[in-house]
Amino acid sequence: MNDERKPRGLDPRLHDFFDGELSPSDAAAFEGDLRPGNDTANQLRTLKHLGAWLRTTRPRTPSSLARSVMSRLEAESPAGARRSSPALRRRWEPGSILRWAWVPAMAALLVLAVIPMTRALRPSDGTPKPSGDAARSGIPVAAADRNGSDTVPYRFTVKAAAAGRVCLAGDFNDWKVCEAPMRRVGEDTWSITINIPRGRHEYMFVIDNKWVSDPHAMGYADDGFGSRNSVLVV
Amino acid sequence: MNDRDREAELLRRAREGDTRAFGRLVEIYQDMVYGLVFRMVRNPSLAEELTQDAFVKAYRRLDSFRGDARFTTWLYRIAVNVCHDQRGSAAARNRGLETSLDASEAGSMDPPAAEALPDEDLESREMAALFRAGVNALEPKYRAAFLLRHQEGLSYTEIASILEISENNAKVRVHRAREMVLEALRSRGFDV
Repeated sequence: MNDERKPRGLDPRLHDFFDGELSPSDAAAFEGDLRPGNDTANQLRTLKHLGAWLRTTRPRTPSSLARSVMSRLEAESPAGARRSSPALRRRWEPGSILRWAWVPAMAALLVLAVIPMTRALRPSDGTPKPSGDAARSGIPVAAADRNGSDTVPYRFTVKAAAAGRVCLAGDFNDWKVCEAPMRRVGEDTWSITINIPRGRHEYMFVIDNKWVSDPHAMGYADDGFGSRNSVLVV
Repeated sequence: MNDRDREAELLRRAREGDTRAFGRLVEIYQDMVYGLVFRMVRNPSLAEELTQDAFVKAYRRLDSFRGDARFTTWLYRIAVNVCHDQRGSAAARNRGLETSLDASEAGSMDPPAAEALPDEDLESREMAALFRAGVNALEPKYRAAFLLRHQEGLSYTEIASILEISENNAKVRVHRAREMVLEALRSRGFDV
């Protein structure tokens, strides 16, 4: 693997010295070995100058760049905008027939997404409580009752037998880690029910300060850092 | 309110759909992102387009940003990925990206006044051209690591997070990049 190749031709101490990782005594010894004109002294000097040149001669940012970014965002259709933010969707809605036209379509999609799930999970007596299977397997359970507003009570569960603290964080609470601490409801299960806005959401469990995806999420989205946020639609 | 609090507040508002708040974030970080992207792709018009792409992508994915890493680290990550993604694209090929780099850089970046450091070596335009050639000689993955370390001044931990590699691998990559740059300078007659 290329990354494992040993750099050639440099005093191995040069990197550590340059990175400030030599102990004071080793750094002093290294500097003592430097002589004007020797290879290591030249290399160190060149790298220092190159770094200074990079930092002080940054290219000029085009003056129109920020304006162009905002123009692109404003020009995007709602479908291209961040779909998981109800507030953003509201922002796109007013003032345009086209903007209004997508609302019922989106509403229909949401209903289609939610109804089968709530039907499947609704007990025969219609009481809005999670199914046992769902709760044991840690699947977030949508409450069947709706409160008539833009929010839906939603129950999240996760198994974490050895955990001392489990929290829920998501876009619906600005990813605040312990704003929504979960309660242990069984030997190994943690649960919380909160009201969340209808729509698509991303969330994670924080188990003893470690971010963990929901193993039974409806879907997943790349978080930009190599792991995946859990996704739900209510 | 300190800078981190102000950034958090702008992020919160941007997540709620306040595009003006996001616009403020773009203004704050555009120099940072453009500076990296430009030296990654070495083409002014492509750099501008890719920087726009990075911010648009960031806006669309704001809900995915959890805040357990710094926002700037997240932005760098998106910017580096945007640069990598474009390398095989038709747009890049149409621009003749890999063949017109020296010309485009020489003509459009690093204004002479900005290059004039208070050091006799760096007062030389030839030295600036040499440095530019040395960085340009790096393969993209080494160039990214080198620029993140020496231009952006990031720690190996941050570089590892941005490039999705181990911290040790980030260090090896920067070390190797230093060696490659010095070799490139040597091959151009520079005594190093």
